[in-house]
Amino acid sequence: MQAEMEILKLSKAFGGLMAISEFDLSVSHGELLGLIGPNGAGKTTFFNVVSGVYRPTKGRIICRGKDITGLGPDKIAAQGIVRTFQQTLIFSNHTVLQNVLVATHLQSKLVFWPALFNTSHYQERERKTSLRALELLDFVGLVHVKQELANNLPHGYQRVLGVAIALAANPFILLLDEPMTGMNQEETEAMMDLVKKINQSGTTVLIVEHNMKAVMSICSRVVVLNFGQKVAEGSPEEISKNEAVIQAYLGT
Amino acid sequence: MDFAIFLQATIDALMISMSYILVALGLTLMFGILRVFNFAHGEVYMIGGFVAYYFYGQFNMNYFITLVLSLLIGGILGLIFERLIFRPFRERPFNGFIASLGLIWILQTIAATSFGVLDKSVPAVFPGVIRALGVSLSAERLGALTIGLFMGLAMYLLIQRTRTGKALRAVAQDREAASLQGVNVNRMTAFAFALGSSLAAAVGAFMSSIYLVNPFIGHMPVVKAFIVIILGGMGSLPGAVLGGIILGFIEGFTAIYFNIGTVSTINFVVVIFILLVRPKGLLGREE
Amino acid sequence: MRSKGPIVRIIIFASILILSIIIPAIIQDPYWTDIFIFILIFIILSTSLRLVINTGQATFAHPALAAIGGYCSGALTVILGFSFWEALPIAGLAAALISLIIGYPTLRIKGVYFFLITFTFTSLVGVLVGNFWIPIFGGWKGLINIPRPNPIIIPGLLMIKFTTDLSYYYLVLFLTVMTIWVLYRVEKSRFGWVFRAIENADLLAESVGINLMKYKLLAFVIAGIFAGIAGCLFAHYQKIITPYDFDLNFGILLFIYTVVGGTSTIVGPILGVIFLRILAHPLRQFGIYETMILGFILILFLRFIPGGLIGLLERIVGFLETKLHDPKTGGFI
Repeated sequence: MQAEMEILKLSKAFGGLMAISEFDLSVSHGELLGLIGPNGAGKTTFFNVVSGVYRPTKGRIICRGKDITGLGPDKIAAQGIVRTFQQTLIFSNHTVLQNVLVATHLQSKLVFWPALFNTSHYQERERKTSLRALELLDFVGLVHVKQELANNLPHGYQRVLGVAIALAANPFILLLDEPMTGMNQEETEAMMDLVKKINQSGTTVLIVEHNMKAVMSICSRVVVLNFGQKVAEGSPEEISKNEAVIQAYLGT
Repeated sequence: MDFAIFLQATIDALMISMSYILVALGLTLMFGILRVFNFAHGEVYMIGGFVAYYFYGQFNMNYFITLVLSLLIGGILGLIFERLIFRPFRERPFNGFIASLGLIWILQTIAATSFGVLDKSVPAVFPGVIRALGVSLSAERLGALTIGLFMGLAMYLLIQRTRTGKALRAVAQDREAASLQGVNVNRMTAFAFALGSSLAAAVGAFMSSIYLVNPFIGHMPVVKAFIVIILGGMGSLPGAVLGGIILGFIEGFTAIYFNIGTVSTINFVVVIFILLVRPKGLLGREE
Repeated sequence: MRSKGPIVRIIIFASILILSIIIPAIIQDPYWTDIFIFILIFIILSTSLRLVINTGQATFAHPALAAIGGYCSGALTVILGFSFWEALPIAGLAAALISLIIGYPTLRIKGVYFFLITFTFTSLVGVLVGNFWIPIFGGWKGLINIPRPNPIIIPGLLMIKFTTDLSYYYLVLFLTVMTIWVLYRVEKSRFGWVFRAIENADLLAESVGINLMKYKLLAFVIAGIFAGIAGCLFAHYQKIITPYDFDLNFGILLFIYTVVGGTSTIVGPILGVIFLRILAHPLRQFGIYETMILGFILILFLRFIPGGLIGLLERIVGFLETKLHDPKTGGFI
């Protein structure tokens, strides 16, 4: 069966520094893959390369058989790979609903003249898009704050909104960059449930997280990164017993 | 090709290059530190010109003391602008450089009401000609070139060889890191502005005897400096030097062998060319 | 009160429109008609400038684009005998084309540098037009004898002449209202959301598939069309256009209007233009100090009232709404 995504010998250098080195990864459809490693291991750099923010120095990224190496972030999103950000990034001046609506950009072709004249056909399409957005907000549990200005939301909700924005772009691979940053126990558990729910609905998920407990409990497979290289790969059980992994974490 | 004309053209080109480079360096310095351009930089140049006109031209002060004075006045102006206009906008640098647009009008009006709007000329510092390599060369232009070269050298030594220069470069590279290493970022910012502005005023002073002085001469140097920066690459000091040399030589030679009008087309063509071929500039770096 | 919002806005807009139609006809003073025409031309320029600023790219190219529109239309009518009605759309298109050519390589560059490039561009266009193709553009003295628009004739029904300033005012008013309508519709549409998203968080916008260059360029070109049209209207009103008309000072003035007015809604720049141009009259008595005062106003606004007049107004209205709104009855005290 064709892999959802193949990362082949990926390398990324900044000046003389090798942030990622000869990284191989194969992602299957419907997986919930965890990516862990000490600080500076290259996890976020990896996401940045896959999502097109950086160009890889060497290596290839194949997605559903198609070579997407070197494409820009908007093209990668169009291919169905969407990422969230480690920092809380939302459209602060828009309402929650508008945040999601903007993010459905890929689904609705933007046409100029009907928009200008606000034709009834255009209005009808907008209404349908709104309905889909509301469904999505319901799915992530934010529908009750849909009219709130995104800036005014509490931190935890903002991070959920970040995930909702990514989902609105209808990805088949979702890259979550430390979604539980700054969350308390309750919020973390809610996020864990949400990630599971997203995965169960058919979306392949790659998650980078520092919260070890969370990663081990929800992921089917875990990959460990250190100094830009793959150190270990396997089920959560195998990883937690792996010598090299323990070394990597103790060593920092 | 007449050798005399060629040599003069070369001197002119070098002189123009130096003046452009020094003004552009000042701008690049300020940008490196605060991520903002002072659009009124040209007005500081203009004030330097007036300093030369009054102190050297009218009060017969010693020329070199006048130059030092222009450096000082430029430096003080830089400090004032940094403190009053750019520092408050540090969080939103965009607002800072829009504010400097307003500064242009303020300075022009002050100059116009204080000094009058008519053209003023500053007497030649090095009158006559110098004979070199069998030809007569304008001593004035040679003098201006020499002064420019000295300033350029001084700048280079200051930035590359002194501790303050190192601190300056550190702040330009990474504010936070520099601050963590104990560099007083505020003081460095003020210093960068003072240095950049003093350069502009000094160039205005030593170029005042070549061209004319009036409250509106600030516009051209800053546009040329921008072209130099576009050409040489954003945020790059060596780029500013390279860009300045290229532009200075193109202009110096076109002015002598063609006419003034062609010089403006050259500017335009150069800018369009660079934008289409290499928008980041020749030595521009990834931001 | 919220549901009454749009109706209130329509009433306000309609009243202003009616006033702008009636007042100049009542006053009939060429001095004031002149002021009104310039207010309208500046409104076209500042509202279109706002479109680009609201994608996060401050641009100083507007004066150059207006100059291109004005010179293009002037040359077409004076040299080639085109009519105003033919030259106007061509002027807009010429400006749009130049916007496309300039914007394509440069909009990908970071904000401050982009501004610097457009600043340089505006400086150079003036010099170019002054020194070259003098038989066509008239050099530094400018292009003269630019005609007023030909009359609109519907045989048997009506004939509208544009020889008087007042009649020209109504033409400009019509085009200004069109401009505001188009820009308003663009903003309210999905395009407007995309533009705002790009300004707000461009990294995030890209991650959901928004091509930044495409939309920034779109905004830049649309704004360019209106700048060209404004330049054309200027040229045919003054009947002359010189390289000094759209110089750096013009650009600074345009920014002052836009900043003072505020960019949060489309009304902002309109307010800024009207406020400052009406204010300019008492200011004129300060003679040469007028520009200095405007410079100070710009700096003060940037520092202390960054939201502009419209920002102030929004805060006042918001404040009043909370004060006057009776939470119990839901009505007003």
